[in-house]
Formats: sequence, C-alpha cells, structure tokens
Amino acid sequence: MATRSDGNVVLPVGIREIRYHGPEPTAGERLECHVRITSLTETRLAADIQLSHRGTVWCEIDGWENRRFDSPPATDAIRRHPEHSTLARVQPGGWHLVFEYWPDPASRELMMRNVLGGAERDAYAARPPRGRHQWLLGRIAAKDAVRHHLWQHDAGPVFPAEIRVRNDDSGRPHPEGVHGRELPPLDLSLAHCAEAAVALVRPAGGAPVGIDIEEIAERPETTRDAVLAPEEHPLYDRLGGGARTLIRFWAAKEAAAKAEGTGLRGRPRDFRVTTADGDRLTVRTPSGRTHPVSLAEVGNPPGLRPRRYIVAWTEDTHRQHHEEKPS
Amino acid sequence: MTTTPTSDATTPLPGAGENAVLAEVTEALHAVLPEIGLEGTAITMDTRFVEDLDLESIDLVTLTGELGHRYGDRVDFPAFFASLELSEIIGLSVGQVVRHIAGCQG
Repeated sequence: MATRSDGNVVLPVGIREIRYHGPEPTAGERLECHVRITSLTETRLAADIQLSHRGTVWCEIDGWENRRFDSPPATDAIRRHPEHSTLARVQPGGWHLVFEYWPDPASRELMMRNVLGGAERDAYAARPPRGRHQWLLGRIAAKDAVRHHLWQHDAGPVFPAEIRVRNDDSGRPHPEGVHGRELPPLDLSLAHCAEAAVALVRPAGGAPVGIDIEEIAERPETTRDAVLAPEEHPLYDRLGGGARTLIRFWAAKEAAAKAEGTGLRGRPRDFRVTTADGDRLTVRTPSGRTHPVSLAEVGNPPGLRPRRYIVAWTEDTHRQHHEEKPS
Repeated sequence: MTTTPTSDATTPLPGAGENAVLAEVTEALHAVLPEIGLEGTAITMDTRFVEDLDLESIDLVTLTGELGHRYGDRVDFPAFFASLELSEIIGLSVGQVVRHIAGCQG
C-alpha cells in the first residue's frame, strides 16, 4: 500500500471471521499486531490480521476488507491541511483551475465532506444527480479562489467551509463568509465543464469579472450560425474557423456576458467578437461596452477521459475598459 | 400556407400536433447531445433541459440552432429564450418548448 500513490484513503467495509483464543486483555495492555495483505485491487484491499499478547496469539481476524477511494497526490494537501491548502491551482492570469480527481462517486462523496459546510451539503444533496459533480467542482474552484485571495492579503488559516457561494436572482455568484469569517467585498465568476471548473475573484468595484470554460469538441453545423453573427464570419474564417475557433469565440462571449452581469440572455450573436490578437479577443456587448478577454487551453490530467478545454476570462485592464458609443 | 426556409425540402413539415413537435424536439436534442440517446434517457413533455438533462448554455444555443433549422422563421427561438428569466430557463421543460412551437404553427 505504501508504494501506491493513489487509493491510499481506505475505510473498512467487512470482516469475514474473528477468532479469540483467550480472555480479553485488560485496558492498557500492549498488543502486537501483524497484518498480511491478501489481495489488492483498484477498489478493494483485503488482509488477515493477528493480535498477540505477551508472545501468545490472542485474536485472529480473517478477511478484513477495506474499500479504497480515489486519492491521487493532488488531493493529499487538502485532506491533511485543509485550512492552508487548495485543490484548485492558480493559473497565469490569476484564475483558478480544478479537475475532478475523484471520478468514482463514493470518492466524490468523501471529498464533498472535506470541502462543503452543513448547509452546502444539503444544497448538494438536493441537486439532481446529473450535474451534481460539476456543481461541486464549481464550488471548490470558487472557495479556493477566494481563500487564495485572502491569503494574498495576509489572512491566516481559512477552511473551505468558511466560504459559501450564494447565487442571486440573476444567477450571479457571490462569496460569503460563514462561521464568523468576514470577507472583503469581492466579485466572483465561476464556470464548469465536464471534469473541470474555473473561478476568478477580484476586489469588488475593480475590473469586471467573467470567466468561462468550454470543451473543444465538434458540434452540429447549426451551432456556428447560432453563435456567430454574420459580421463575425470574416474574422472567424481568418482565424482558421473550425471547432476550436468557434469555442474560443463562444467562451469569450460567455466571459464578457458574465462580466456585464447579464449573461448571454439567449442571444450570443448580439455579443460580437470584434478583434483578435493571439490569445486575446475583444468582445463588444449590447450595452456598447467592450471587454478584452484572454484565452488559454488546458487539458484533463492523466487518469481522466482525455479532453481539451478553452478557458476565457476578462482581463484586469481598467484603462481599456471604457464606455463606447454603440455603433 | 407558409413557406419554410429549411434547405432540406424533402423532409415533410412537422405537423402542428404536439406529438409531432415532441418527436422533432427529441430528434434535435439527440443531435445536440448524442449521449442522451446512448443513455436511453426517455424525453417526455416533463423533461427539463437544465435540471434533468444537464444542458449547458452552449447546448441550449445549439438546440435553438437545430430547431431554427427545422422550423425556420416561424419560431423565433432566440426571442423565446431571451424572454425567460434565469430561474425559468433552469426549470424549462421540453413541454414548454413544444407548446411554444405548436402555438407558433397553429
């Protein structure tokens, strides 16, 4: 077991047989314990155990069985020092990214208990099974982004359960402190897709926050016309077209729409990508504002189904963010 | 008689009946999310796009594109979705879309 880097979190699920060969030792007596691993699979660990008292076997346990849970090294720190560590990792550009390192549903339940407070666990349980794991991932990314921000500003230990994310009537997420934790005013945006989630946190009143993540995948022909206005086609074609370019445009529009606080309102074509410069797109929203949006490409880590994603987030460039007259 | 800008002229126009529209919406859903078919999830009038099928916003936009392809200008899907509050979109059922389409055709 000690040679394995994953599956080291175990809980007992069964015992085949216990045989006692003498009276129960009194409290405080020292026993010797010998464990022989009899089988080890991806999800199960079985062992026979012998307890000896002063050189004489007192008790034999056969078929002690443990359930093994997904616990790759990336999850070690949050289990051991949750108040000092995150599952999500900060990325160039200041946003946070987390992957679902625990594809097995039972392992996810264990991780859920590590990161959610009581009220959040009820909210989790009330969600429909489809999409529940992504909701959890989004919460983790948001909590970690907020805690990272607090640590950057000299906060001491902050447990994941001290941060809660509330959605207002328009769907916008707001971080709150619980259990006595006070938060400075923060703006938060988060997004999830398949086995990944991202979050972006900035002091309230600064550059508007909007972030999106979308898988790079082929989509039906009709998607392009539903996403792009005719005016965007020349730029889209010049950038090579295809699924990747379409997802880059889409994610940039989503990020800008979130930064506006409105969402796309079912009309992605009204959010126009007007210029492109490498990994930066400019999006003009129906209000006439323009948002510079940065893009990055990330992929699932080994062990998860291979996928590539586009992440888009609004840049923190006050000077470039100004009102323009609608054309 | 309305004309349809649908390019595939050999496909018969879906009838105004809700069952026919439901079949059409189900087909469009399978085009957007092929795994729904693989999982054998039954699509009914009560199925909710976001809560039950876990459609994300790009899936909904793709769906409007698919439906737009099938129904042309007779149904303004972007306007329909834009008229809904976020909470309404989250709870939006297949039946609501089917009745909207049937209403536009009637």
